[in-house]
Amino acid sequence: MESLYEAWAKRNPSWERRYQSTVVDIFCDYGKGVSSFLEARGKIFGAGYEIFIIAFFIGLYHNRTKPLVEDRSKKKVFGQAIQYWGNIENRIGRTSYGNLRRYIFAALIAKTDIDFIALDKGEITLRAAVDKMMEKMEEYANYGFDYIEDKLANDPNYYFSDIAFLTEITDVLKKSEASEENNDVDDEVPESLD
Amino acid sequence: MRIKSIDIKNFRSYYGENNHFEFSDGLTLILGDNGDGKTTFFEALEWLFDTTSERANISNVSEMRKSKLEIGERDEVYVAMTFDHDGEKMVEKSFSITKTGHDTYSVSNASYHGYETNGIERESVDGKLLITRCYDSFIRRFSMFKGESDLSVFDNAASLKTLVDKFSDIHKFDGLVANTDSFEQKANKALLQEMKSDDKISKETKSLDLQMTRLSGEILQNKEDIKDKKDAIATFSSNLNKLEQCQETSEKYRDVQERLKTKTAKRNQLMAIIKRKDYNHCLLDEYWVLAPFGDILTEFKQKCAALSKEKRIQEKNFDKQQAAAKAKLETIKEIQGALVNGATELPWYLPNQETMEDMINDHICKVCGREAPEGSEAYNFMVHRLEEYRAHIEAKCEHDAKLKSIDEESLFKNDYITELHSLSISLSGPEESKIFGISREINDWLGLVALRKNEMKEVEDEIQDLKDEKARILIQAGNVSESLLESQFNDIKGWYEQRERASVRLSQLEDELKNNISKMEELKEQMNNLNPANSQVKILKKVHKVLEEINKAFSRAQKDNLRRFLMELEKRANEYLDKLSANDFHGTVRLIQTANDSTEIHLYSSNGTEITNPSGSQKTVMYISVLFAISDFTQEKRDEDYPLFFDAATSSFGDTKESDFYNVIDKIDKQCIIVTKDFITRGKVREEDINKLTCSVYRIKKVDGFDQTNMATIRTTINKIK
Repeated sequence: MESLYEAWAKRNPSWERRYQSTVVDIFCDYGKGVSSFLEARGKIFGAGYEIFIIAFFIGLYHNRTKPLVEDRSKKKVFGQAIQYWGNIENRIGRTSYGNLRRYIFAALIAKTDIDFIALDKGEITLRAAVDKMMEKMEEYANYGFDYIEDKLANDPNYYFSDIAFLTEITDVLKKSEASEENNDVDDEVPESLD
Repeated sequence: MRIKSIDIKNFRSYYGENNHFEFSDGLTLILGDNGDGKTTFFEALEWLFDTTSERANISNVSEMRKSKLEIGERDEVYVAMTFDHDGEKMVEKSFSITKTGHDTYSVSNASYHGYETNGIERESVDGKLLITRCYDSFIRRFSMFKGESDLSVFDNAASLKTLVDKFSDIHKFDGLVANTDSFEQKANKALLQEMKSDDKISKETKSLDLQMTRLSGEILQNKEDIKDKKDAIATFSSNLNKLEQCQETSEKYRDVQERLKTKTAKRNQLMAIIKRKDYNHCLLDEYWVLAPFGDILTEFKQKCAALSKEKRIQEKNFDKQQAAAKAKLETIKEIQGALVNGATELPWYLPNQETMEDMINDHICKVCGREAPEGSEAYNFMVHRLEEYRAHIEAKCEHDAKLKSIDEESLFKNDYITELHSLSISLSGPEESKIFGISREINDWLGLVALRKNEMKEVEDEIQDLKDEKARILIQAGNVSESLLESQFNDIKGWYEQRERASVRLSQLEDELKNNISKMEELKEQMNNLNPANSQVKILKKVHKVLEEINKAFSRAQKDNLRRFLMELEKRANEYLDKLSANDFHGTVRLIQTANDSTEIHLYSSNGTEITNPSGSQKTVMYISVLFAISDFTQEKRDEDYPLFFDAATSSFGDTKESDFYNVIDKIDKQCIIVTKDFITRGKVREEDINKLTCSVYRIKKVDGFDQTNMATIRTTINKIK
């Protein structure tokens, strides 16, 4: 029996074509194959999926999703299925990070509304469950792309500080720590921003 | 020569023709701030006096004038000077400029015009000749100075010789010395000829003459060699002196270089640490993107655990239901009937189907042996018994199928929840603590980088300080190049050795010379003691003796003259030094002759110590004193005076020194034109200080409202303050 993880990892998420010029091409070597001349081209990341992963985590940590356009012609996919993401040992100066896929998967399991009991009972198909996970994944990343695009519109050099993407992540951490402290003071649950 | 006025037209910032300066016989100050046109004024004069070039340079044309010319329009550029030199004279150097296109111009060659007043008539003369005649390039060398470094006129070895030739009577002696030398030689020749023809002493004379000729050749060679060695020693000593003065500088320089190297290496190390991690790649490669993942991981684990639990509960309940159904099935027991006498019936499977079918077919009970014809009670009993048997078989099959169905039935067809649960378990423990540790890892690293960045800032500040120190050392070392400062120790060693060798050789040569001279004296004595037969020899001997003495006297006088000239120059220079220094320490100037007939200016303290590194202002006053003394000599020897021009010569002076200097120079009877930014503070002339002086003062200034980026808006105006 094919595992849920395998079924998911075989997939290739869709993203909105419009982000190619405004986000993906700016940060990645997308569509140019493996390159050891990353720095020479001034790109921050390698394969296109790398910025997708960053966008996904931005959406995930902000707990915000954004549905993709319906029109299939306005969407596209990367050249590599999820199961190959992070296998970049042939890139100079980089380390393989394939294990990150398990965490993305875990996040999707946590955040996607799937009746796993029904799935195990066979009442819903594996394909239907994976479809839902992929939809969630794409929507998180879509929010992330929108977020990055928005920042770049205000300041085209915003992410060209070496610490800018890391700051996006550490800011989330600080916010969550601050909210934990607030929760410690009084147990009020902050209103959802959604 | 006394300059009366200078007019400048369209020369660089001096736009138009209303640029007129008038000069008094004494001091005239031209004050201007940075960029106001001070150096341009000085360079306009240099251009006027430069008779070697007639090529007009477009860059000398006022940009403002150029911008205002129409295409085809023509204007002229000139610098003119009116002066007194055996009557009033005027000289002008000019060229014309024509605008030929939108941004193109043509310029004519520069030409000179001169006028001189002859009685009451003003006649045209060759301007170039007039300059050469009244203010030649040599005088200019000792009268026009741009900046303080230009003042050290004796740095050039030929300067003194030229100066002496121009301003002293010594050169007149050169001919006299040559003449007396020639007379002495002729007398000697005549004497020798006479002695050689004297029968009595001819042989001895020839022999002695031969020896003396050879010896005089050796003496001449000795003297040349001694001069060469002295020159060499002087050169080595001078170089060594310079380098020894730089030795401390050099040590400092190399120390700074070494420290700079260490600090630069340290900075590179720090830079490597700071740049070791690419934060963007770390987000993925080092899983830093998972820093806030803890909550989500917990959520995932909780969800997996809940699902697993739920599934197990459901499975358990289902299993219970199944067990109940099975139990229920198994509790359905067949109730066996009883026979007429109360005895229990045989089980339903006895006799079996085959036996019963056999008995029915044979119409006999093969147990009791009684017949059982069809339709009889016994027969019917057997048929009924067979039917029951068959019903039992069917019920058993049905029961077994039901049991099997219960056993085979399951609630969950898939095992995805277990997969998830397994993943959840594998992401716990060490993996989980790794996730929770990422934020600390990032903070630690950023903290480390911040520390290193601070450290790097300090190192960069130190590097900047060292660079500044290096620049200061190089500035203080003057014209000494970086490579010289780096390599000079090997040179010093070589020069010491060469000087040492030259000294040893010199001492040998001097001994040889001394020896040869004493031999020569002996030979002369022997020659002198020869007793000729001819009385003519005796007369010639006396004539030669007299001419020889005269020759010696002139030679001594020639040397004494040079010494006296230098002493006089030195004395005069010290008088000026005393005056110009006012109340400040100034030491004493000494003009020291070197082996190669050059002169060096040295400053000594009254206790005999040489001041090897005088301050900038001490040096300036020292040089100006010497220049004033030279100027005095010109006046005395040539019966003419000439003006002195200084452009920013006092830039190293402090306020007190500056004020003392001008107060003194103001009272000196010498035409002196000083272009300076002294007396200007924050763009304003310090009128109080100016009023203390008696001299003429001009203020030159850029006209306000210029465009800071456009040269065509710059124009100098001239305002006579007093």
